[in-house]
Amino acid sequence: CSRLHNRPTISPTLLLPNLYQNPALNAPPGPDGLPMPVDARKSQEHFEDFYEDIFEEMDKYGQIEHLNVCDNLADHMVGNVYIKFVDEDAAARALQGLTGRFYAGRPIMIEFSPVTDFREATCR
Amino acid sequence: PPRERRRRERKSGFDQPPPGGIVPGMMGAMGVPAALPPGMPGVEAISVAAAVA
Repeated sequence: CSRLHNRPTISPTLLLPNLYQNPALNAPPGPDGLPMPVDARKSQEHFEDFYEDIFEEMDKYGQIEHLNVCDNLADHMVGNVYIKFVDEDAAARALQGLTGRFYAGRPIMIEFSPVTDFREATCR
Repeated sequence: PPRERRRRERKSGFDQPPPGGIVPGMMGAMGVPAALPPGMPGVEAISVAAAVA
Protein backbone atom coordinates (compact mmCIF):
# COMPACT_ATOMS: atom_id res chain seq x y z
CA CYS A 1 0.00 0.00 0.00
CA SER A 2 1.24 3.50 -0.75
CA ARG A 3 -0.17 4.92 2.49
CA LEU A 4 2.14 5.54 5.39
CA HIS A 5 1.31 2.72 7.76
CA ASN A 6 2.26 2.40 11.37
CA ARG A 7 4.31 -0.75 11.89
CA PRO A 8 3.96 -2.08 15.41
CA THR A 9 6.82 -3.80 17.14
CA ILE A 10 4.43 -6.45 18.45
CA SER A 11 0.92 -7.42 17.44
CA PRO A 12 -1.25 -10.54 17.31
CA THR A 13 -1.60 -9.96 13.57
CA LEU A 14 0.98 -10.70 10.92
CA LEU A 15 1.11 -9.43 7.36
CA LEU A 16 2.78 -11.43 4.60
CA PRO A 17 2.72 -9.01 1.67
CA ASN A 18 2.26 -10.28 -1.89
CA LEU A 19 2.50 -13.93 -0.92
CA TYR A 20 -0.52 -15.23 -2.83
CA GLN A 21 0.03 -15.32 -6.57
CA ASN A 22 -3.35 -15.37 -8.31
CA PRO A 23 -2.99 -17.59 -11.42
CA ALA A 24 -4.76 -14.90 -13.46
CA LEU A 25 -1.82 -12.56 -12.83
CA ASN A 26 0.63 -15.01 -14.38
CA ALA A 27 -1.55 -16.21 -17.25
CA PRO A 28 0.30 -16.29 -20.57
CA PRO A 29 -0.84 -13.79 -23.20
CA GLY A 30 -3.27 -15.01 -25.86
CA PRO A 31 -3.29 -14.16 -29.57
CA ASP A 32 -4.91 -10.80 -28.83
CA GLY A 33 -2.16 -9.92 -26.38
CA LEU A 34 -4.48 -10.11 -23.38
CA PRO A 35 -3.90 -12.72 -20.66
CA MET A 36 -5.51 -16.08 -21.42
CA PRO A 37 -8.55 -16.80 -19.22
CA VAL A 38 -7.87 -19.10 -16.29
CA ASP A 39 -10.16 -22.04 -15.61
CA ALA A 40 -12.35 -21.08 -12.63
CA ARG A 41 -12.13 -24.52 -11.04
CA LYS A 42 -8.33 -24.63 -11.25
CA SER A 43 -8.16 -21.12 -9.90
CA GLN A 44 -10.32 -22.10 -6.93
CA GLU A 45 -8.20 -25.22 -6.27
CA HIS A 46 -5.06 -23.10 -6.42
CA PHE A 47 -6.50 -20.75 -3.81
CA GLU A 48 -7.63 -23.58 -1.55
CA ASP A 49 -4.23 -25.28 -1.75
CA PHE A 50 -2.56 -22.03 -0.79
CA TYR A 51 -4.98 -21.43 2.08
CA GLU A 52 -4.38 -24.93 3.43
CA ASP A 53 -0.62 -24.51 3.22
CA ILE A 54 -0.73 -21.26 5.14
CA PHE A 55 -3.20 -22.48 7.74
CA GLU A 56 -1.31 -25.69 8.45
CA GLU A 57 2.02 -23.92 8.73
CA MET A 58 0.72 -21.09 10.91
CA ASP A 59 -1.22 -23.45 13.13
CA LYS A 60 2.13 -24.81 14.34
CA TYR A 61 2.85 -21.51 16.07
CA GLY A 62 -0.42 -21.03 17.93
CA GLN A 63 -4.17 -20.74 17.67
CA ILE A 64 -5.32 -18.76 14.66
CA GLU A 65 -8.23 -16.38 15.06
CA HIS A 66 -8.44 -15.06 11.50
CA LEU A 67 -6.72 -15.89 8.25
CA ASN A 68 -7.43 -13.53 5.37
CA VAL A 69 -5.94 -13.94 1.92
CA CYS A 70 -6.35 -11.06 -0.54
CA ASP A 71 -7.29 -12.72 -3.81
CA ASN A 72 -7.49 -9.50 -5.76
CA LEU A 73 -5.95 -8.51 -9.08
CA ALA A 74 -5.47 -4.79 -8.53
CA ASP A 75 -2.13 -3.54 -7.24
CA HIS A 76 -3.40 -2.47 -3.85
CA MET A 77 -2.70 -5.18 -1.26
CA VAL A 78 -2.37 -7.75 -4.02
CA GLY A 79 -1.80 -11.21 -2.60
CA ASN A 80 -1.50 -9.97 0.97
CA VAL A 81 -2.05 -12.51 3.72
CA TYR A 82 -3.19 -11.40 7.17
CA ILE A 83 -3.08 -13.81 10.08
CA LYS A 84 -4.42 -12.90 13.46
CA PHE A 85 -3.40 -15.18 16.29
CA VAL A 86 -5.20 -15.42 19.60
CA ASP A 87 -2.11 -14.12 21.35
CA GLU A 88 0.87 -11.97 20.45
CA ASP A 89 3.44 -14.56 21.49
CA ALA A 90 2.22 -16.93 18.78
CA ALA A 91 2.54 -14.15 16.21
CA ALA A 92 6.07 -13.42 17.40
CA ARG A 93 7.00 -17.09 17.13
CA ALA A 94 5.53 -17.26 13.63
CA LEU A 95 7.43 -14.16 12.54
CA GLN A 96 10.66 -15.65 13.80
CA GLY A 97 9.88 -19.05 12.31
CA LEU A 98 9.07 -17.77 8.85
CA THR A 99 11.81 -15.20 8.48
CA GLY A 100 14.28 -16.23 5.82
CA ARG A 101 12.10 -18.96 4.35
CA PHE A 102 10.58 -19.43 0.90
CA TYR A 103 7.13 -20.20 -0.39
CA ALA A 104 6.74 -21.64 -3.88
CA GLY A 105 10.15 -20.35 -4.88
CA ARG A 106 9.60 -16.84 -3.55
CA PRO A 107 11.05 -15.35 -0.36
CA ILE A 108 8.54 -14.81 2.42
CA MET A 109 8.27 -11.24 3.64
CA ILE A 110 6.65 -10.97 7.05
CA GLU A 111 5.91 -8.18 9.49
CA PHE A 112 3.54 -7.30 12.30
CA SER A 113 0.35 -5.59 11.23
CA PRO A 114 -1.66 -3.07 13.26
CA VAL A 115 -4.93 -4.61 12.04
CA THR A 116 -6.85 -6.28 14.83
CA ASP A 117 -10.42 -5.91 13.55
CA PHE A 118 -10.73 -6.86 9.89
CA ARG A 119 -14.26 -5.45 9.59
CA GLU A 120 -12.95 -2.01 10.45
CA ALA A 121 -9.64 -2.31 8.59
CA THR A 122 -8.95 0.40 6.07
CA CYS A 123 -5.82 2.11 4.79
CA ARG A 124 -5.51 5.53 6.34
CA PRO B 1 -13.08 -37.29 -1.99
CA PRO B 2 -10.85 -35.82 -4.74
CA ARG B 3 -10.06 -32.82 -2.58
CA GLU B 4 -8.75 -34.97 0.26
CA ARG B 5 -6.72 -37.08 -2.15
CA ARG B 6 -5.23 -33.97 -3.72
CA ARG B 7 -4.37 -32.68 -0.29
CA ARG B 8 -2.51 -35.87 0.62
CA GLU B 9 -0.61 -36.02 -2.66
CA ARG B 10 0.26 -32.35 -2.82
CA LYS B 11 3.52 -31.04 -1.43
CA SER B 12 3.38 -27.82 0.59
CA GLY B 13 4.74 -24.71 -1.11
CA PHE B 14 6.76 -23.89 2.00
CA ASP B 15 10.53 -24.18 1.75
CA GLN B 16 10.52 -24.55 -2.02
CA PRO B 17 13.50 -22.45 -3.14
CA PRO B 18 13.60 -20.77 -6.54
CA PRO B 19 14.31 -23.30 -9.33
CA GLY B 20 17.69 -21.78 -10.12
CA GLY B 21 18.67 -21.16 -6.50
CA ILE B 22 19.43 -17.77 -5.02
CA VAL B 23 21.24 -15.49 -7.41
CA PRO B 24 22.24 -11.83 -7.01
CA GLY B 25 19.48 -9.42 -7.94
CA MET B 26 16.70 -11.96 -7.93
CA MET B 27 14.89 -10.39 -5.00
CA GLY B 28 14.37 -7.18 -6.95
CA ALA B 29 13.32 -9.06 -10.07
CA MET B 30 10.56 -10.78 -8.14
CA GLY B 31 9.12 -7.48 -7.07
CA VAL B 32 9.74 -7.81 -3.38
CA PRO B 33 10.95 -4.85 -1.32
CA ALA B 34 14.70 -4.43 -0.98
CA ALA B 35 14.47 -4.29 2.80
CA LEU B 36 14.72 -7.96 3.68
CA PRO B 37 14.58 -9.33 7.20
CA PRO B 38 18.01 -9.90 8.76
CA GLY B 39 19.41 -13.30 7.94
CA MET B 40 17.39 -13.73 4.76
CA PRO B 41 19.40 -15.85 2.31
CA GLY B 42 20.71 -13.84 -0.59
CA VAL B 43 21.07 -10.56 1.26
CA GLU B 44 24.85 -10.72 1.24
CA ALA B 45 24.88 -11.48 -2.48
CA ILE B 46 22.70 -8.45 -3.19
CA SER B 47 24.86 -6.23 -1.02
CA VAL B 48 27.96 -7.30 -2.92
CA ALA B 49 26.27 -6.62 -6.26
CA ALA B 50 25.16 -3.18 -5.07
CA ALA B 51 28.66 -2.37 -3.83
CA VAL B 52 30.18 -3.30 -7.20
CA ALA B 53 27.62 -1.18 -9.05
